[in-house]
Amino acid sequence: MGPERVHFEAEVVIIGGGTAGCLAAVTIKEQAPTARVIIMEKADIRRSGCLAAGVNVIKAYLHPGETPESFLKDIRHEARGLVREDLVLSAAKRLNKVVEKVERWGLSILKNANGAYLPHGRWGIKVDGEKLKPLLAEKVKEKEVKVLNRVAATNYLLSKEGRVIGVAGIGVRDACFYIIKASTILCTTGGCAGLYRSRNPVDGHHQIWYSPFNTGSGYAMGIRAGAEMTSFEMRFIALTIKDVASSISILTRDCGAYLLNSYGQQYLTSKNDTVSDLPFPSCLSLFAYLQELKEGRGPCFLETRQLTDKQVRELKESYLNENPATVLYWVTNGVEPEKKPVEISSTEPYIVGGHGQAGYWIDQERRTTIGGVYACGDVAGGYPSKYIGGSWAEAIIAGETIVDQLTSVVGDHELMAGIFLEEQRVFAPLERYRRGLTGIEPWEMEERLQKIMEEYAGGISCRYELSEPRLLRAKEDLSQLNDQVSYLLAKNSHQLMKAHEVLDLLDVAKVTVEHLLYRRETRWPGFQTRVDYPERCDLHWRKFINSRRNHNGAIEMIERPYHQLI
Amino acid sequence: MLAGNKLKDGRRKKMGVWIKREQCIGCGECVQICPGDLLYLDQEEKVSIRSSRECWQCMACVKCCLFEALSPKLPYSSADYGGTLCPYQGQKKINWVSKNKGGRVEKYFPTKQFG
Repeated sequence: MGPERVHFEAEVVIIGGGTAGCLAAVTIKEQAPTARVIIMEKADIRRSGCLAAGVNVIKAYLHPGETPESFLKDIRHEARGLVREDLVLSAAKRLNKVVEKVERWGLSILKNANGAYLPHGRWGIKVDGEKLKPLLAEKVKEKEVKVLNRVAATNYLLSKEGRVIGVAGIGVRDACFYIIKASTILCTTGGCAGLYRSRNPVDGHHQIWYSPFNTGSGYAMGIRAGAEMTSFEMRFIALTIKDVASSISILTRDCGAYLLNSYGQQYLTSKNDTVSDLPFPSCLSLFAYLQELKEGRGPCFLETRQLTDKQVRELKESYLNENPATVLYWVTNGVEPEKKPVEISSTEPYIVGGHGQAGYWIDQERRTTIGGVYACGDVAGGYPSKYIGGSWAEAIIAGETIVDQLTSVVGDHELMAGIFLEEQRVFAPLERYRRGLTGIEPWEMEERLQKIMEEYAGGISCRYELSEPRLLRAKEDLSQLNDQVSYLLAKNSHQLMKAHEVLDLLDVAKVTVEHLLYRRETRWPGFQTRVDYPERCDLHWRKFINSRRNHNGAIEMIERPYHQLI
Repeated sequence: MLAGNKLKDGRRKKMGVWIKREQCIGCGECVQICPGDLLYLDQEEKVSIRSSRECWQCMACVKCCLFEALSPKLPYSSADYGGTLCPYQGQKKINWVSKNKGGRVEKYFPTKQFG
């Protein structure tokens, strides 16, 4: 007996109700109130995605004197000369309007005595964003968007011509098979954590910087549907407060904390006014930190002894709005930042389009290469240092384009063809368990995958270094792991979700390795250190590396030129 | 099944959150909100956590519990036993109280606009 099927149809389906997805949903309903809009969300939109715990800073905002052009130049510097300038410029023009809009909805933005937003570095503003997600969820409800919480998308449903006609998913709580018919889909599922082994052992498995529940499902669905993806070789690795992996942005920008090695030397000095939280482009700051460790001058710290008691209190309150675990960590371990510098460490690598630029290859209107599918936020590529403001700007652009081009929903007959195969694929791990067979549990496959990536595709233990022989080995081992997929077991609907998370990770890992192999230069030291090609080579490699999985499952690589607009 | 993990003060030792079963009324708010789908109500209608290693420490569950049945717990591999952090959630603001190993209490009022 198959699973119970649940059917819906809508003009627009938004996959992932994080900060980008919620904003897009409201935008569409504001301009097309009668359109049926569904948000499909793996968790609960009140506390899902990267901002589940809240946020204390919003980047980017163009303060007086800044322009989209000055913003683009800084992002280009951060991205080491390779960025989709059209995407950055189109978003930059909307950054301020969207922040002001969310403020009108109730976001509390800190202001100075003159009523201007309190700046956080050159490109940020400070907010009391602990309730940002509940606030966005409330707005979504007010606009009568249909929200399907606890439904995880598994694949796009495509017509014979390759255009999207719907999306399939699983009920994380009810184990039902969800089929949503729609001709327009916006993917806002976020980026991908979990490809590499966590820095923290066993019980700290998910004590990581990026949301561990963002497991690259939107990337994987795109890959399986043959979408063109870009820049998966630009991994992102953050420098964070050690153990709790929380952002150091507040420390470096608002507290004047600078980097120290274990000999008390300030190992990176520069004026901190770039989009990066660190003195140099993020990748170079990471690389400098790794050099300190390699040459025996680690561990490294942020100097915080200059802080006054009042500043320490404000610092803790700021962390409570974004990452309360930081305060618990300090309280529990007796850490007093005003007495001792705060130790930092680097995270495991992530694939993200909001800090890095990995994701769907999109046009200026945020259309992917699959007909009817749009992407924005962390899942969309080409525009690094996008952060929250950029994700919102993209959501507005995508939302407006979608409203302009609303199409009717297709007939049932066309949809049915793909449904049966997808249902079989999706429920296979549950079926295997029901038949009493033994097999592999999702966490076991996840560990195996992370071990391969860690050892051969530049994990923490090898200082993130990459080389062709090791990457080829990763490719071989991932291919072997792929043959194990049919043995996956799921005892219940929660485990079925976990099984699909690991399947998605596997598809993302395979593409990541192909990208890492293809770029035979070191463009982003630290993020992408090719020890066999240690130089940056603009002559041959100032271009985008894209990929597309073809009908046979092979990953084809595509080169796309860089266009300088400013 | 968790009997062996029960501490003298009634808290159950699991990574992610401490669960005070006698304070849980089984309302299921935390089960609804957890972004990792990690919480569930057991046969006695009390909250329980599925996985000992998958909590992100977002504290969504801790914040939404009106009965203080949940409190955050960091992995022991990185944090000592003994400190606590407790949120007090209002409609528009949130306050927190921390207590260190020595019992020193500190209060925080991070919501500036409504503080």
